[in-house]
Amino acid sequence: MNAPLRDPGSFRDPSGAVYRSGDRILRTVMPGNASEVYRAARESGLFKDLAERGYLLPFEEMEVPALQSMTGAAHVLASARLPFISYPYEWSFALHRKAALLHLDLHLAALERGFDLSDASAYNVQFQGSSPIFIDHLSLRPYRDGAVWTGHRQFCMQFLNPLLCHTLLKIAPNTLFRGSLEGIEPEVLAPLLPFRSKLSWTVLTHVVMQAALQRRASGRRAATIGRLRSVSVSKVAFVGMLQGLRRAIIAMKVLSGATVWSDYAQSNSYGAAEADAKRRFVSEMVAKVRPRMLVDLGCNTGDYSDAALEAGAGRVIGFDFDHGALNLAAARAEAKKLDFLPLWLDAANPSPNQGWGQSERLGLSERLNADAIIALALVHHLAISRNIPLDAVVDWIVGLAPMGVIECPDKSDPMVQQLLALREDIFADYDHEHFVAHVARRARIVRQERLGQGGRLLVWFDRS
Amino acid sequence: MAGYRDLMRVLLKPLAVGGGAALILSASYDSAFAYLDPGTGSIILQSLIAGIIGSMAFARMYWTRLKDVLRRTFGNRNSDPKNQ
Repeated sequence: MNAPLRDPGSFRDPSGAVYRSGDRILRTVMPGNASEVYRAARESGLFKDLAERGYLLPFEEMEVPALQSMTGAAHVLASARLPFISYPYEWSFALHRKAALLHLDLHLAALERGFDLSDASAYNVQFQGSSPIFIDHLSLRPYRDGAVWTGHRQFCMQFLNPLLCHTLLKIAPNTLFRGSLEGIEPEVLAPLLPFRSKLSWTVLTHVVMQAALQRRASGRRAATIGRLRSVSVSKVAFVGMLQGLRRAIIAMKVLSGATVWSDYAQSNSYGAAEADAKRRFVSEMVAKVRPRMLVDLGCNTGDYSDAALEAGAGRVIGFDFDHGALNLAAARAEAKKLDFLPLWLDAANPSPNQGWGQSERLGLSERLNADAIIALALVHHLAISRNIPLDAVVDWIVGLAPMGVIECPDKSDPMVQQLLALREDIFADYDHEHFVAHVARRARIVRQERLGQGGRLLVWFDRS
Repeated sequence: MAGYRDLMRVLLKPLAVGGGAALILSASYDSAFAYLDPGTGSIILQSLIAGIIGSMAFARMYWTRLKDVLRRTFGNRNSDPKNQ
């Protein structure tokens, strides 16, 4: 077994820590309180029940003498390493909503069995395909009569408030969340909300009132605040709060839902011949390479991710800048049960290493472990809209995976003409000849194909 | 008169339950397992929401029982669901 490496993001809760060992994730449970809590949950059958419902990542207890003697852990829980760790600031509305509902459902199921959650961190929810799953076994602890919902504020900051940004402000919260890793505080959101939205019970209580109470309490003496330790919340009220939030979040709709997606699929017949040729080209590469994980940069609604999966890709992680497209892609993944996770990305500014020690949350390239990549209809957005030299664009894409397909539309393409409509053409080197040369300098070109009469060129590269 | 005694019992019950609730409120909660600071605003809010949800649930129960007793005391026996 590989020597376990401690996850740099695992330090908040002293009850245990997360280690990576090859394809396994090991979670230590420290002796004393934490191990008593863990054993109580294990003996009650809680873990098994939640895993069977698909809420909780399954695990098995393991003896890892090296890790146990190093850390003094009482137990070690081993689970399969997830193929990709995503962060809430990379989720679309559709994914964030699913994650929030999973968290509430898991909490309600736990309470039914006499257990509670110690926190409400969105980082504890991960996606397998586009299905959410809870990964932190040590968050579960026995429920105590009268306990307050410890994770309430965290739930609001990391789930409710980002969703409200989408639905009430029509602003995607990803950039705000990325700059504020603990989430969006009620005190930040409340003043931004339109007055009418504040009349809803959910917004009035969980955002407006919480923000006002929090502000009022700042500067109070410890003894005054400490008196709040005696606050008790009945289980009926606790469950009522969770169910109320669940109802409110279920009522939040993805604007571009599944029906729009099916409309889109039918109406997108323009350029059908070119799209078919593109699909064939991608499928051939995938069938030959058989990637376990393929990255689809600029995945849009997932047309080519879908084709790649059909051609034999193990799973696809897609990235796009457009939230409407991402919500449709998530609807497609769910409807067709695809192992496809469409995430938000600004390709010119990917998620960085950040948080405590600049290593708590890892940057995109450190988390990606792709066997192949497709980057279709993307190059011009970076090279022209964002002024990134074509050479550097090719360098970045080819660096993300050992092989793949890149599409380059030249200046005769209507999309490229649109990007140049208002600005001076300072891109003398933006053409197929230069593009192919840039790729050839870094990889072997397996095949290239010009699409129809248009100015689109597909290049299949391999640097393995 | 059994119906009147029932009526009084229902009317007086809230006082007893209210007293019990006050006792629970003063009991201390041991948060030994928590590594997270729940936040002042959140706790005060929760106590308010809990009060509202609790009293709504209580009012609903109280209202149902009051209706039941009134129906039994003054209502038409044929309309009592138990007799149907």
